[in-house]
Amino acid sequence: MNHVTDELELFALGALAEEDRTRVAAHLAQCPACREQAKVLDEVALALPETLAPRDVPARLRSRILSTARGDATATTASPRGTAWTAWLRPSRLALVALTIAVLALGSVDVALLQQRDTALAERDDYANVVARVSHGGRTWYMAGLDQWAGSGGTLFAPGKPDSAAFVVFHDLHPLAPGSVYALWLVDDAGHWMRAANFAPNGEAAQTVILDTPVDGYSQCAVTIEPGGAGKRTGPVVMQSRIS
Amino acid sequence: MGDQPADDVLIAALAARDLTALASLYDRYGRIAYALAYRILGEAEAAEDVVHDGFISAWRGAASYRSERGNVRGWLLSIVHHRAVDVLRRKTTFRPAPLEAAESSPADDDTAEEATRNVEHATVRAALEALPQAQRRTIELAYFGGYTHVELAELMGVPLGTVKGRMRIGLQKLRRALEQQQSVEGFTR
Repeated sequence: MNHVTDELELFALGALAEEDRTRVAAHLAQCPACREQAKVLDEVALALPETLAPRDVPARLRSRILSTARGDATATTASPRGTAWTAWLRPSRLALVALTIAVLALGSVDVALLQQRDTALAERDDYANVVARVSHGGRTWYMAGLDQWAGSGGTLFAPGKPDSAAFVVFHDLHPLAPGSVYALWLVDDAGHWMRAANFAPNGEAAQTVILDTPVDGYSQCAVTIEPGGAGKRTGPVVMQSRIS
Repeated sequence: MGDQPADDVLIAALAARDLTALASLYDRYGRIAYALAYRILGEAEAAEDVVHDGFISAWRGAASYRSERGNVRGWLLSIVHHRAVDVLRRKTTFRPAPLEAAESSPADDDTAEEATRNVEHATVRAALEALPQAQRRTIELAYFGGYTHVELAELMGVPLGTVKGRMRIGLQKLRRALEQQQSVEGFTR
């Protein structure tokens, strides 16, 4: 076994490139001797934040975190449909659905990609990296349902290939009043809202919506409920995420 | 900590999907997590996103926490640090330019006054300031600036081995300072 003693300071300070960090972390997982040394150095590095001045934290951050977590709890314990299928759809699994669709959309269903998807089933925390890798640099963002829409959500998937359309895989969408639609928006830094898609819930646990426009140049995405399929935003924001 | 539940108790509650435990952990560590993310990213909204994602990651991954690998505070701050550095590296245009930026950031300006608020802050700060400038710069640029050791070698115009050496010696000195402080605290209790 090749020990990583020479890299532990770099690891503790976060000064390794991602691939080296992954390699060292993998070694630490199976080497008690290196792990013990790493723990000591980590404790020193983790004292560094104590040198920082406390900052006023935005008041909304606390409620934002709790709202997202509540959405998780709702989806896994009291989903409106309450099925194992919808519990399976929480963000990491949802990204795998997106990944599957991405593989198909890219027109290159090969064994290696599907194997990566299967591996990801066992690696919930790494799903975003897997998706990004498989989609040639694609990116994902999760929008959690806000307030009364907690429990619903969607993953916006922007494939890395320029000729592939961005799309969102939603889960647990609430039904709408007759005549209303969900509108998917992209918002730029100047506060301009661009309607990227309209859709109505199809009653399925998961629903894919393709955007009419690329996400590049926008800093946020959001879903609102609107009285029609055109015009400016007037309805409440159901879910939202930064995408830059 | 008085009647407040211990961190390990809160983590166990978190794994059991207890939102109150998440709120308590946020109240305990949200501020320092935000200060860390802000120091790395230099941008309020990005720091907020990183702290949000970090706490949600902890919420979703609480069952994976292992106390033998470090305490809860360290675990949370590691998550936030890793995410913030990851964001910073993706936004290369937002990277602080080099040494001057790291030395004159607003957080640093505030640090001396704020850090004297308690002994631990003062100890860490004093130990950091006592390091030779090259060691201190190397550690700060790596930890708060998100630079890899390869980038640092290029930035500072020194061999990789020198960067590693500065980190090793600097961290050793910080470790000794913290151990001395802990032994003093143990003696006076």
